[in-house]
Amino acid sequence: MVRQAAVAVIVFAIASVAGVLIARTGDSADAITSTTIPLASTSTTAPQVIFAAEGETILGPAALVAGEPYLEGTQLVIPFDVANLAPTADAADVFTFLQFGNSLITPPEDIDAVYLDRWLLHTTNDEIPGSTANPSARAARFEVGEGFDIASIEAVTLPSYSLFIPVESEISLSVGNESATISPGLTIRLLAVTEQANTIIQIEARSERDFNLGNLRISGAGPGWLSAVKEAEGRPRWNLTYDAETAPSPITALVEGAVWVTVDRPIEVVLPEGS
Amino acid sequence: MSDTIWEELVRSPLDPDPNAPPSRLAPLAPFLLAGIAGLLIGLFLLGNSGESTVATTLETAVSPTTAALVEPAPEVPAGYTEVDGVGLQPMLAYSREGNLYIAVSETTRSDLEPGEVPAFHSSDWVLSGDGVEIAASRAIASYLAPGVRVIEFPNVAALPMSVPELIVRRGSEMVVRTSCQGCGAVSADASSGEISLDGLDRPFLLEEPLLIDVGSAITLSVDHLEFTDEWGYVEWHIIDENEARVRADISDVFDGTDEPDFKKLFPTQLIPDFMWDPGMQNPTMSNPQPFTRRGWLVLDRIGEIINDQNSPTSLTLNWAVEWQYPIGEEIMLPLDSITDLGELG
Repeated sequence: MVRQAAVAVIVFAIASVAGVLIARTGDSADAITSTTIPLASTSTTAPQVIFAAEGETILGPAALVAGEPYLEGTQLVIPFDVANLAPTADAADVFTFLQFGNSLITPPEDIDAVYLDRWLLHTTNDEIPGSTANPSARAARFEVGEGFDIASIEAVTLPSYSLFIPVESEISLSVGNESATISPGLTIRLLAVTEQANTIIQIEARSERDFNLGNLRISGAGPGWLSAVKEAEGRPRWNLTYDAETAPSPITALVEGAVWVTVDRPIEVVLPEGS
Repeated sequence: MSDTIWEELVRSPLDPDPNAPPSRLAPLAPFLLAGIAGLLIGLFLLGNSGESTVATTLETAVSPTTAALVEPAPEVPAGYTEVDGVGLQPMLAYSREGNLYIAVSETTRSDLEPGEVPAFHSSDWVLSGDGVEIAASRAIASYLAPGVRVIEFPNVAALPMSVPELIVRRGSEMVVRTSCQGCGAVSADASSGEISLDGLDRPFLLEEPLLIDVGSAITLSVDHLEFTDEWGYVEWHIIDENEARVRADISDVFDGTDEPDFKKLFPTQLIPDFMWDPGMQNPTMSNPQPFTRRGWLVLDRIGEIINDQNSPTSLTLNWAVEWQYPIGEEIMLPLDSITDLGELG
């Protein structure tokens, strides 16, 4: 009995020291930020991972997760989702002023970072192009005709995709030098100069795509510039007001915002198991 | 009543059955109890010492083995280089009017939530190749395209031919402005002040550079300051030979205007036009101002128009500067998989 009590006291002492030592391992800042909380779970399933998981395809700052292909009439449809993986803790909500006094607030995580505009279906004996309607659409469609067998799909690829990138360019325009390329696929040109007490300079944006011009802003750069107004009715034209009876030479302006740029980097899409 | 019968009557159903065979663990009970008590007391003592890590470490101690086997290592996607929980990958390059632009993509590390990780803010980018290193003039960002930054290299016609690399260093700490809807990050390193301008003559044109000591070994030289009652224009640069990069917010205040006795109104001012967005006239947000060595601002009037009934009594220049220094080791980003779009236009 005495021996048992002595052993119990020793165990008590050792366990006390062990308790202190275990707790001490969390003292430093590094230790606190280590992944101790997930380890507390006794679950045998892996914690949720945001990307790099099976079935996900990384495209710039986003991950594509394709769904099960299915037939809809003569079209093959591949539904998909795109998760924006961009770090956004300090990003701002995007405030967009719409027509008729309406506005739209978009959280940064909901912004479309990529546009999967070109798809290619590889079957046992053919290659069939497909497309997605717009950056927010979440289904790729392929015209496959009657009697298509889903089992004949060997692979699905994106020959290229579009990435939404920031743009900020100072431009100089003048008579005889009316246009400037801002970014791949985007051109600005001098449309009209109306010389009056406050001269109005009209600048137009032209894009190889027609959906990105709501993401541009143009304003004067240099001394003497007053307000810059985008035309109503959705036309991609800006009227810049200059505080003089004649236009400056050259006309300097700042073009900023974001534009779609094609990334020519073919990527195979990971389809769900069994597709 | 015999003791045995009495004990049988008062025995709780929870008491051990005296007729049951003795448990094989029974002899170990004192040791187990001592061990558990000791462990709890050890943890209790540490908890009372004011340290706050007990809860998390206790959970770790409970089941370290099972979970450690199933948790994947945190990682960034293949081809990305991790910096502080953010994966960076140069995606594409193009050149325009003698400058080279490289778009760099950002993703969040797999074990982190994108909404809880700040973007990579550094403005200290260097392009290496062909035996030379070229510093970037700015890192262009847009609220409309989080996750991509476009780095501008001045006077670089094309990507270097020999093993090009992008080198970046972390920027000094940034903080998040949470109380302002629609605002992005602001720097923890910032200062502000005001300078009275002599005279009331307008249009006003600064005759010689105005030097502003903003602190942290940074002197801003306002090289051009010009304004009327309706607009203003400012050019500035950092004159010190250091690695600081700043973004400056400069405004002119027409003191004594716009009903100065009514304290709810601000006096008429000329403020940077990027603060005007978005609105009915120009419905798209401006880009966040990049951290640079030199910059310019177009100022626009806010407040009542200046006229005989609303005339300033003095003029004040307000300035606010945020700065960033590169810190830490250089981080190499290979450019071998970049899509080169070549010269535009």
